[in-house]
This record gives sequence, structure tokens and C-alpha cells, in this order.
Amino acid sequence: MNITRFIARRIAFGSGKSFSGFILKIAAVAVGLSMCVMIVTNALVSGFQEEVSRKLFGFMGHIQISSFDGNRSFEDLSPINIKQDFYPSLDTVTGISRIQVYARKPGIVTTDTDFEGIVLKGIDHNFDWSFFEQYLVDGRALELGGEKKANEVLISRTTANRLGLKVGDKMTIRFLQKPPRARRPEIVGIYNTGLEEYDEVYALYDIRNIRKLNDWEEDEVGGFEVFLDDVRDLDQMSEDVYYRYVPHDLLSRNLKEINPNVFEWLALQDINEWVILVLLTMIAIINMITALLILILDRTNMIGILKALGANNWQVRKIFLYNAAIIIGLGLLLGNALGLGLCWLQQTFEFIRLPEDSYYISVAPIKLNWITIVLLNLATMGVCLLALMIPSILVTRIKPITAIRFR
Amino acid sequence: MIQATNIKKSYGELAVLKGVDVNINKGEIVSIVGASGAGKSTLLHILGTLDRSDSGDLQIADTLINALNDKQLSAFRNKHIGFVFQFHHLLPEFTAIENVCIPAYINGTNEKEAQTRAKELLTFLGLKDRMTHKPNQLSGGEQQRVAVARALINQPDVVLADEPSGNLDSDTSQELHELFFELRKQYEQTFVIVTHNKELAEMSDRQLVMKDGLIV
Ligand SMILES: Nc1ncnc2c1ncn2[C@@H]1O[C@H](COP(=O)(O)OP(=O)(O)O)[C@@H](O)[C@H]1O
Ligand SMILES: [Mg+2]
Repeated sequence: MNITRFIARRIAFGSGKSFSGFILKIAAVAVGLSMCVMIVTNALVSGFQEEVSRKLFGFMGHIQISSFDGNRSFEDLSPINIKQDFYPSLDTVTGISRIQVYARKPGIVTTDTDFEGIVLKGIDHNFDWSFFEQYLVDGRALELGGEKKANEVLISRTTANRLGLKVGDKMTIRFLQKPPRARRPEIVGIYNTGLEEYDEVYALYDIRNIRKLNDWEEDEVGGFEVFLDDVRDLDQMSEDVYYRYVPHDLLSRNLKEINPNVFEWLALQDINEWVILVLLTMIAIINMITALLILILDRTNMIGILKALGANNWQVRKIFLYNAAIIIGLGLLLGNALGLGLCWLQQTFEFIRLPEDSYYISVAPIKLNWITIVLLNLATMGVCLLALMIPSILVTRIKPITAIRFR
Repeated sequence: MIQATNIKKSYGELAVLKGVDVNINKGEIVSIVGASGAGKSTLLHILGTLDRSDSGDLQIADTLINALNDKQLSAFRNKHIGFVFQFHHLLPEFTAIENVCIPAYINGTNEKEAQTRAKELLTFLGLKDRMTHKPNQLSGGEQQRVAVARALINQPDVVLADEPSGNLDSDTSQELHELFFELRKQYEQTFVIVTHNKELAEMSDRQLVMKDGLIV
């Protein structure tokens, strides 16, 4: 018979004195709330990171292939030929879902009263619209399948608002080159991804217009965008693409290399999460230490008797640690229920909203990582119990004769 | 069984035991008598390894107690010594039979074996119908008999009792005392009993009289 379990289970919630019972319940609730907040924090932070990076990659592709000097300041200066060994066969490589062409050219949009610098991103009929269609707020996508260059443009809501333009309007774009040129395409659609830094810059345009403006050949492009199946393969796939598929005269870089800042900012959220986790664990531990001391002091008489009956210190300490584990376990149960419940509520009713211009997304997304949740539970239990080893030494100070002499 | 020589114990300035010698033989029932404050309980606690003496040698069942560390001492106490106190000191959350089993569980005995022995003891002590009662559902005499069963569960070499009938009326005391002698007859059980009860003292094989920290 396991004496620890036998006794611990029976006395789990104190000696029945209302005050100590109350403290024990507080401790369980504190553990529960900590776990609840940990789960929600983790779900929010990972949801946020995943959602923002999904948007970033959706907008730009995971990997860009370009000429060595071509990929600067939103302008593709040195065109490369579309006839490459990797195009379009690269999308048959495991882990790669798409490859498509682009060519970017900066221009200035002018209206009667205003002007605004933008970048026209030229795309062709193979462009995958699934990403932009999600964020289309008005009008339609470009139609690029025709024989002739499409005189259409898709602009962001930011640009439309700044310049007072709407679907159906013609938009004058001037290009600073020698000699200066201008185009007047029709706005056929307005998108809003929420990635403000990109939205305020990019408009989509037929790549054939860019070629013409730049005096490129029919088979020249600014570069290629490569999309992966799974962002977790990013580093590995970037290397593979660079070393195995792309010729030496071309450059391939992944989005993290092109735009490290935003990814560093995303990674920074991990630190916030860690700070919260550590603080909450400490709160849980402090509450549990109080609970454990109360349990022990409540039970000095029992401890004395058990020792008189021949229980050693470690056996008695184990009873209280087991007891604490029961309280932590109940707290965790409560915390998981509460935390998962809150996550479900947020997923269903989206009541936590974010300012989109600073966070790129308007609704705080939720991503539940089941393995992380299990680990959080195990770690809370483990860390609490380890921390409780020290106060449980109090048991060794209680002498059997004290309990027996002074009842 | 127990050989204690020149046991001394002081609480600060107060010398409670001033060099006590005690020898207890197997199967003996020895009573310790003396005025209140004479040091009887202190001696019993030292003999029972609940407390350590300041000096002197103690040997129980061929084991030198002074040589044991705390953990060994706990295990020794669990296997070799049973206690009955003036107050029953049963754990209130547990039934009679569970209380009796606790020393066996501490010793790592399996549940079935412990319960079999506990039932046998409780039956012997006339508590067959009280096994699943909690301590507060038992009378004072019954509580003390449960405590006796608990003291006996691990078949100790000696049972040390400190005024076991101190809180009982005279009839109940009488019953308890008779049980000690029956247990001795049945199991050859050794007892050392501190008591103020004249009849019990006179029934016992030997009386040790304590006065001013010495046995006279
Ligand atoms: N923990 C202690 N601290 C100080 N004095 C004590 C302590 N325990 C017992 N004493 C004293 O030791 C003396 C002997 O006590 P005790 O052994 O209980 O006597 P008895 O059991 O014979 O009545 C008493 O004077 C008592 O007050
Ligand atoms: Mg006494």
C-alpha cells in the first residue's frame, strides 16, 4: 500500500477548517488562472505570428529569384530571361507549390490635387490570385489572359483613399525616366491586406506594360516569386533553391533575408510570451508555497503521529507534495477548461480586435498548439512541485513528541 | 529486550533524567510509576526513540539506538516499537481499520496482508463491529483499543504505553488492562506502561518507581 497516496488523497482539502480550505481553493484558482492566461497568451501570440507571416508570404512569396543587382528599392533594373531551367518546373519539387514572374517599377500617381509615389508590380496570366482575392474589397482581379496588354490596375484601399480614387476611375501614373512617360489604366479592383507597409506601396499591373515601359524584350521579367507548401521549410528550401536549382548568375533570397525587420518584430513577440509565462508561473508557485505551508501547519499533529508510528521525513514530505499535486492538478484542469474556452470564444465571436494599421490584422487570431499546451501543463506541475520541495522541508522541523505532549 | 544505562536528559537548566538504568525482558509487563513531573514520559519517549537522550546507552532488540541516523531510527521505530498514549491520537479522517493499518503501510506491507492482520487484532480486542467507524464514532475505551491494535500491527518487540487508561473510567480501564495481559499470554507481547493506576501497577510483573529523575 502506498502510504503517500493513501493519506494524501484523504486529506487533500485541508482539515476542514474554513480558512485553510479557503487558502487552498485560492491556490488552486491561482494555478488555474495562470494556466488559463498561459494558454490564451500562447494561442494569441502564435496565432498572431502565423497570421502575419502568412500574409507577408502570401503577398511576396517565400523566395525571390532575381538578377544580382536587380532587386533594389522596389525597382527591378536588370531583367532576366523567363526561359530558365527552373521555370516553371520548380513547382514540381516537393515542398514548392508555385513559381510566378514579376517585374516592379516605381511611378507617381497624380490627380488634380494630389500625387503619390507607388510601385507597380507587373504580373502575368499565370499569377495566382487566391491570396489577393481574399483581400479584394471592391471590383475584381486583373484580367491578363488577353492577346493585348491589359490597361487595368488593382490598387490598395490606402492608395485609393489617399488619392480619392474608386473602381472604374482612370489613374494617371507618371514614370520618371528619359524621356518621361505616363499611363492611364482603369482601376478595376481595390484590395486591402492590412499589411500597411506593402499596401501603401504596391499596385498590380500587367507585366507587359512594364516591359514596354522599360524597353525590355517579350521574354524578360524582373524576377520570380517562389511559394512553399510549409513555411517551416523556409531555411532548408531557400538553400535548396539557391544551390540546386538557380544558376550562378542569379540570386535567390527568402523573405526573411529581404525583409528581416518584420520577422524580427514577429520573433520579439516570443519574448513577451516568455515574460508572461515566467511571471504567471511565479505567481502560481508563490500561491502553492502558501498552500503547502498551510497544509503542513494545519497538520502538525498528524505529522507528529505519523513520525511516531515510524514514517520518515521523506515519506511525510511526499504526502504533502502529493497533496499539492492534487491541488495543482485541479487548478490545471480549471485553467485548461477556462483557457480553451476563452480561445474558443475568441475564435467564434472575435471579440478581441487589434488596430490593423499597427498590427497588420484586425482580429486577434487564435492558434492552439496542443503539444505546447501539454508541455505547459507538465512544466507548471513540474516546476511547482520542484519549487515546493524547499518549503516541504518544514515537515522535518516537526517533532513527534511535540504533537504527543501538547495535543 | 531493552537495556538502557545511565540515561540523562535535561531541558535547559532542568535535569529531568539524571542517569536512569532500565532493563526490560521479553514477555514482561513492567509499569513505571511516580509523581507527576518525575520524568516518566520523558523516559518513555527516550526508550521509544521519539527523543534522544543527552547521554547514556540504549539498546533495543540488539540494536544500538545511538548509532542510527534519523531515517534508520524511523524505520526501527516502525518495526520494533508500538505506542499507546494517554490520548488515542488516531487520525480522524480514517476508519478504525485504516488507522490500524497505517504503521503497516508505512512499512510497505501490502494492503491485503495488513488488513488481514488488522482484522485479526481488532477482533481479538473486541472491535469486530467497529472496524469501519471513524474515531469520533467510538467510545474512549474503543478508541484506546484501536490505538492498541495500531501499536501491535507490525508485531513490535515492545509496546510502550503512557497513561493509557488516564482518560478512561475505572471499568473501562480495567478492561483495557486485562487486554494487556491477554495479549501477553497470546502473543508473548512485552509492555512498558507508565501509569497512575494502582491496580494496574500491582498486576504488573515489576514496578519501577521514578523520583527526581532517578529510578528508586
Ligand atoms: N519540552 C520540554 N521543555 C521543557 N521542559 C519539559 C519539556 N518536556 C518535559 N519537561 C519537563 O520535564 C519534567 C518531566 O516531565 P515528564 O517527563 O512529562 O513528567 P511525567 O510524565 O513524569 O509527569 C517536567 O518538569 C516537565 O515540565
Ligand atoms: Mg507524563
